[in-house]
Amino acid sequence: MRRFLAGFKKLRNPVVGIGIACPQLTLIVALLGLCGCQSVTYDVRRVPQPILLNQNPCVAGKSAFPPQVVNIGDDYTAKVAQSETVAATSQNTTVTIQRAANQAQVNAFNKIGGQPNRLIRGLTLDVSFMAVNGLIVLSQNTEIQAHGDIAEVHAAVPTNSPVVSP
Amino acid sequence: MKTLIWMAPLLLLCGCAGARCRITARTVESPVSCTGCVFDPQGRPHQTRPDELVSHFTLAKAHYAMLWTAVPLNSKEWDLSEELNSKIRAASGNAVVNVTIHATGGEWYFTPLIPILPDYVSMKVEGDIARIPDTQQ
Repeated sequence: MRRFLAGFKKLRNPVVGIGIACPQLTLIVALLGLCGCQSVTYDVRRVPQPILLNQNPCVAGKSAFPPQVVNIGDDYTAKVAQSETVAATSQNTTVTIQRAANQAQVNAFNKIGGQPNRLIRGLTLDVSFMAVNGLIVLSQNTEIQAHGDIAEVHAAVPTNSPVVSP
Repeated sequence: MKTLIWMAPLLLLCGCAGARCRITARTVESPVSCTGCVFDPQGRPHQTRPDELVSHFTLAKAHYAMLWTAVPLNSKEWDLSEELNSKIRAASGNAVVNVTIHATGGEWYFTPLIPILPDYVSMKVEGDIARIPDTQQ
């Protein structure tokens, strides 16, 4: 209390006075004013095969024999995430822990890499942001969760089988 | 008992906030690829060349939720189909390639403490419209 009053008297500005006198209060007020901003990017442009948000992998054309696309019963999941935890310590300092994960390209390569007729289709992307506040601990996590089906394209081969009429 | 008394207000001041959204594009007729590759009309892989890219697009949206994500203030799903179909028509293209999704979660430190304050996640989708010629004549 003495320290608080001394700080208050020493500086005529009461806000600064309170700040010097009570560093814990300053820390809490500073934390209240903080804002966090985290970004994640789902980027798989280096994968040499299609990863589709819809179902159709083929460009429209005049082909008389459109290729068949068949799901092979396997699926693709990947997570791109970034998280940050900021905690206030007793010495008026903060500790920051950052974590990041990006499985998007690696998982895609593992599922369809090296097989030129394979693709990922029906991709859905679940974007989420969560923040947990424990007054002196702030933790936030931004992530993109991708899910899609693995499929194969089979080019239709025209056959010369005779057309039998009844 | 004393511990409980001083911990109670601290627990009351704890909370969480956030927002969720699902991005889809199911009903686009042309292929929408996150890579530079699509299949040609004969079913062969086709890597788009820079001269085939006719336009670049950016779509952005923020999704809000409140009461610790329990009450979403927007639709839970962002379907890009309509927007992409109109972009494809406008550019006379036949495929969407190089799609990337950028998500930013942002919050003020006090938003988890006051659950009525909405929090958000902002999303940005970028890509190119391609016009791939039909090689089979």
